[in-house]
Amino acid sequence: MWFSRPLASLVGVITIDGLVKRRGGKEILAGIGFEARPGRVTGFLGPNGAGKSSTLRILLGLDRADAGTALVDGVPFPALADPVRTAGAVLDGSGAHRSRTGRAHLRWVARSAGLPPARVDEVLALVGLTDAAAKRVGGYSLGMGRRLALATALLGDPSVLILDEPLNGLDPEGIRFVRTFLRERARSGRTVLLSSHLMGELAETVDDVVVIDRGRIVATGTLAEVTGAHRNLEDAFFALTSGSGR
Amino acid sequence: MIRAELSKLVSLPATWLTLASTLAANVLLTFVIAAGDAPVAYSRAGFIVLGVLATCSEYTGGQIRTTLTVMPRRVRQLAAKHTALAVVTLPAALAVALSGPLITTAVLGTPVGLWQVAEVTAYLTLLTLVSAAVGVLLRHTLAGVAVLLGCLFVAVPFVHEYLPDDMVTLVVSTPVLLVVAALAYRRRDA
Repeated sequence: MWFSRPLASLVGVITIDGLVKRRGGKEILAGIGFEARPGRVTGFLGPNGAGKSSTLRILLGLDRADAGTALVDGVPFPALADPVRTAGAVLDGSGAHRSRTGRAHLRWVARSAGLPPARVDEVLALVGLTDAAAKRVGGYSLGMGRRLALATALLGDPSVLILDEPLNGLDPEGIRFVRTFLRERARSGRTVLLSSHLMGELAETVDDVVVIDRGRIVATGTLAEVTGAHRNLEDAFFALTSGSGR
Repeated sequence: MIRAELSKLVSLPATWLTLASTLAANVLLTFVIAAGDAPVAYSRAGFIVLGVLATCSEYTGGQIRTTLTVMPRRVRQLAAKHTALAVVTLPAALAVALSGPLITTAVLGTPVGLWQVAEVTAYLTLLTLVSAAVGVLLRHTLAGVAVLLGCLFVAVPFVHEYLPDDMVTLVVSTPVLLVVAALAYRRRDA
C-alpha cells in the first residue's frame, strides 16, 4: 500500500520523539528525542542506567513506551514491511539459545526473512566465526557471542544498524574490527546508531553525538559541537553528566 | 515464519530428547503396567515438557530479543510457532498413540482401535499446544511443567466429577489459553 511505504526522505532515518517510559513509578525516560541519519555513525552516550538500553528496546519494539514515538524509516519497528533487510540489532549477549549451534541460529533467522542459506556462511565469514559455526553457542566466549549477534544483525544487509554497547566483552582486536566495520557501514551510506558508556573508545568512531543522563538528553550535535571548548569528548561527557551519582 | 519456527524447534536437541524418551517410556510402560493406551496417562507428561520447552526456550540466552526484532509482529510470530509445534507434535503423538495398541496386538492379538488411536493423538497434540500457551504466560520451563503436571495429576482428579470428558475440556481450553497467551504476549515488554 502506498501509505505503508516510507517517504524517500525518511529511508534509513531513526526518529525518536518525546519518548517517556515509567517503570515501578519511576520515570526512566523523561520525554527524550533525537535523530540518527544515513551515512553517519551516531553515538548514544551516557552513564550506566541513564536510559540508553531502554530507548533502544523501545525503538526495536521490544518494550512499550508510555508516550512518544520511535520510528525507523518513518514507521514504528513492528510495522516495518521487511524488518531483517531494514534494520539489524545487536543487544547484549549473543541473542541465541545456548544449545543451538551458531549456524543453526543464523539459519532460522535467515528463514524468517526468506534469505538464501548461502548468506549464513557469508556473515559467518564476515565476523570470523566460520570455524566455530558448528559449535554450540553455550561453548562460545563472550566475544564470540557478540560476533554471532553482529552476524545475525548483518544477515539482511540492512540499511540501519542499532547496537547496544557493541564494544563490551570484545578484545582489542575485536574492538578495532567493530570500529572499522561501523565506519565502513556509514561510508557506504547506511545508518549506524550505537550506545556506549565508554567515551575514549568512541571519539574516533562517531560523527554525531547524543548524550543522555538520567532519562534526559543533555546534548546533541556533531562530535565537534558536543566536545566544544572541552579538551576531548570524555571531558565534555563528564562535564555534561556530572553529579549523576556514579 | 512457520519455516523459521520449525527450524528453531528441530535444531533444539531438547526437542528430540523429549520425543525419544517419551516414546521409549510409553513402550516400556506398555510392557510393564498395562495393555493398550493406558500408559499414555503417564507418557503425556513428555508432551507437556515438549510444549513448555517450545515457548520457554525463547527466554534462554536472550533469544526472544532476536525473535522479536526479526519477526516483530508478535501475534503472527506466536501463531507460526504454535503451527510449527503442531506439525512436529502430530506425528510424534500418532507414534505414541499407536505404540501401545500395536504392542498389545502383537502380544495378545486384540485388534487396534483406530478411533481410539485418533482420539489419543488429538488429545496429546492439544495438550502440547496448551502447554506451549502456559509456557508463554509463565516464561519459565520448570514453573510451566510443574504447574501443568500439578493440574493434570493433582487438581484434575479432584474436580474430575464436575468436569466434562477430558477431551471436551481440552478442546474448549486449548483455544481459550492460546488466545489469552497471545494477548499477554502482544501487550507486555519482551
